[in-house]
Amino acid sequence: MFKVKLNFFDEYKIILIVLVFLSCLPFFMSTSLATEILIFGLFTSGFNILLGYTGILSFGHAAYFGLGAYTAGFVLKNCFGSVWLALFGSLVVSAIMGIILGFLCIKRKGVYFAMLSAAFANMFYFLALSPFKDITGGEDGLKEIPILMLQFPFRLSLSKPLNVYYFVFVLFVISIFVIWKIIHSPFGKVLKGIRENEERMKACGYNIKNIKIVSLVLSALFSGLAGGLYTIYLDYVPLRTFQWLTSGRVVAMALLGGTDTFIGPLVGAGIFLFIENTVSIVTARWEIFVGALIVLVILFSPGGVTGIFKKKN
Amino acid sequence: MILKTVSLIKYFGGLKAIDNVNFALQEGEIRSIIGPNGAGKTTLFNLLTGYLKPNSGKIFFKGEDITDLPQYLICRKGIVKSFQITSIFPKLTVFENVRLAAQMRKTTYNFWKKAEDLEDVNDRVMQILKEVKLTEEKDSLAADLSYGLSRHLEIAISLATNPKILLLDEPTAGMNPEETQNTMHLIKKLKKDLTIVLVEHDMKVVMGISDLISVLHNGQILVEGSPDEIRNNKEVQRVYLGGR
Repeated sequence: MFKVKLNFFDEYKIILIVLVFLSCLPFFMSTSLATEILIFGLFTSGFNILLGYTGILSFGHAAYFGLGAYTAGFVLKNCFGSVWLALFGSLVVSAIMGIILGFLCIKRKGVYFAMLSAAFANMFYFLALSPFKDITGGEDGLKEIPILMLQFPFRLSLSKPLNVYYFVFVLFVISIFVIWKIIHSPFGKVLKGIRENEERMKACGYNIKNIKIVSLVLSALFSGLAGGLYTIYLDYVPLRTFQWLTSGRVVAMALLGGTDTFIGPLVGAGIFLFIENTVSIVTARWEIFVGALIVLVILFSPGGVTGIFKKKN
Repeated sequence: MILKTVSLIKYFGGLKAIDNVNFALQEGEIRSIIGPNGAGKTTLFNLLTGYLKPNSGKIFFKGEDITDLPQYLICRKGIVKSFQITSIFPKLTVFENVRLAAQMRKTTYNFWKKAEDLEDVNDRVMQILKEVKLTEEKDSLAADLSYGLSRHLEIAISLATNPKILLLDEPTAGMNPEETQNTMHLIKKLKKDLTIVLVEHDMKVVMGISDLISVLHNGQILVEGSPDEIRNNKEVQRVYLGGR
C-alpha cells in the first residue's frame, strides 16, 4: 500500500479535484444516483464532525436527517412551495433538536451515548408513524408536495432532475466549504484535542460539555440540511428518513470512506451508494457486498478507503 | 496567601484519603509535598484543581471560595496541574500540543479563522517552548519524544494556560540524573512568575529547590517546615525518610 504524506495544499487540491469530478457526475451515472451521492455525502460529512473530529459516535443521526426532511416537506406544502424557507426550516429545527438532545445526552460516554441517540431517533420514527400521522402521513410518508420552482435568485424548475442536481450541488459546495472552515478553525482544533485526550483538554480549562454540544449542533445542522435537500430531490418525504437504517447507513458510509480525512465521508457515501445502485440490478442482496467491503476495510484499513492513501501517524 | 484549604476531607468509600487538611500557600513560593505512597498527595492535587470534590471543607483561592467550581473554571482562574502519568496529545506535533493549551485563553468558539493565524497564541507557544527547551522539536510528533522531553512537554502544556499556581505531580519521576537536573533548573526559572507546588519523591530535588516542605501521611499534614527542619525532624524520618 502506498502511503503519501498529505500536507495542507495537497488536501486542498484533492478536494478541488473531487468537486470538479462531482460537478460532472450526471454524465457518468443516472442523475438520481448522482443527486443521492451529493445528499448523503453532505449528510456523512456533517455526521463526521461529531465522529471523526470530536470522537463521538451517534447511532441516531436519522433524527436530524428526518427532522430536516419532514420540516422541509411541511413548509413546502404549507408555505407556497418556498424552497429557501423550507431549507431554512430544516436548519433551524435540526439545530434546535441538536441543542435539546445535546443537553440531554452529551454527558454520557461511548456506547451509552450511541444507544441514547438511537433511542431518540427511534422515538421520532414511531411518533411520525402513528401519533402524528395526520401531519407526517404515517407509513405512507409526506405526499402531495407541490411541484417545486425555485424563485430566487432566478426561476428554475426543480421538477427537472438535472436542475435539482445542480441546485443540490451548489448548496453542497457551500456546505462543504463551511465544514472545511470549521475543521480548520480554532474550534475545529479544540474538537480534535477532545478526541485525542479529553481529560487533558478539561485540565486546560476547556468547557468540554458545552463544546461537545456545539459540535453536535453543527453536525445536526448539516444532517438536517441534507434531509431537506432529500425532500426536494424526492418531492416526497418517506418515513424511512427517521428509520434506524438511515442512522446505520451514515455510520457505514463514514467508516467505509474514512473518518480521518476530509473527503473520507464523501468517498464512503459515493462507494456505498454506487454499489447499492449497481449491485441491486443484479441481486437484491447488494447489502452483502457492502457489508463484506466494510468488514474488509475495518480489518485491513481502519482508516477507511481514504486511509489507505494517508500517511499513518 | 494565594491558596488555602480549611478542614478538607475526602473519602473514597470507607477510606479517608484526605483527613482534615489545612493547607496554606504563599504567593511566589516553591512548596514540596512529600510523604509515603498512599499518603494522599495526588488526591490533594486533584481536590485543588477541582477534578475531585471534597466531602467537606473549603478551598480558597485569593480569598475566593472555589470549592464548588468545576475543574475547567478553576483552571481558568489559574490553578493548573501537570499529570503524574504523562498526559499529552501523542498524535499531534509538539507545537500543536502547546498551542491547543495556549489557545484556551484566546478563543474557543471561533469557527472561521484559520487556527494557525492566531499570531499572539503562536508567539506565546514559541516563548514557552523556548523556556522548556523544546524549540528544536516543535514539529516532531509528541509520541516521538524521549521520556524526559515528554515530561517537559507535560509541563509546557500546563504553562501555556497561564497559571498562577502550578501543581507539578512527580515531574522528575523516571528521569536520569541529567534529566532531573534540567527539570530542577526549569522549575527554579519558573518560580519568578508563578507559585509552584511539587509532589516529589526525589529528595535531592525537594531539598534543592523548596522554600517550604509539607509532609503528608495518612491524609494528614504531619509537619511543615524548611528543608533543614524537615530533614532533621524525627517524626518525618520515622515515617518517610528513614525507611528509604
